[in-house]
Amino acid sequence: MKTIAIPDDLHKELMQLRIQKGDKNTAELIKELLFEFKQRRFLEASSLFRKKLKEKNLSFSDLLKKSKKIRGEIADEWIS
Amino acid sequence: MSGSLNKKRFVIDTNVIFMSLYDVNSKASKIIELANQEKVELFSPESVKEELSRVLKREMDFSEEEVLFLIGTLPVTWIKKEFYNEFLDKTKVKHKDDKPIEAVSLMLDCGILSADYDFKDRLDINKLLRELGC
Repeated sequence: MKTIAIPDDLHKELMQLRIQKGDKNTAELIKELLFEFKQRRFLEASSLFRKKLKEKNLSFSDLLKKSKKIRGEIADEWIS
Repeated sequence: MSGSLNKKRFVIDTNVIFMSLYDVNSKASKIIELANQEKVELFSPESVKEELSRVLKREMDFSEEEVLFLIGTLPVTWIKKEFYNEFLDKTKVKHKDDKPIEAVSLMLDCGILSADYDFKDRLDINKLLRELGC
């Protein structure tokens, strides 16, 4: 177990949120918040990925073919 | 890796990663979600990270910063070649390109999540998600 120092008002907000959500402890709440944060970032990455794919007018299957080709190139460089 | 003993571990291939990014409602995306919930652990060789990086930059015009952002959102532990190197000779997959994936799966003694039929022992994602209660 580790301890982190946080300002009083943030501590109060966390406690209120924990009670609202019915979490057993603050660690459980922070875990949920971390999950939400990671998922949101992943969705942002997905949105960027789809935007770029569209801009390049690339189909998903074409992208996979190009990826396969690049994998071959890396294997030639990395594996003797 | 503390606390990882009860978690299911898998090696994830590039095509599954791309599918998860392409369709956020896909089964591949569900796997990413499970990893973000720490219900499963995902691993992949650094060659897959390099493949992602080159595809994003070269074929999709991603900037270096955008590549770092996208790869940073993936809940994947990247395994350096020096760790899986000795397992490359033990792989059975036909193509040299796919050997790092199988080598990491041999090293960690876990299954492969891939859309590539060349991996004979690849896991059935539908079955896996059912087992995980999804």
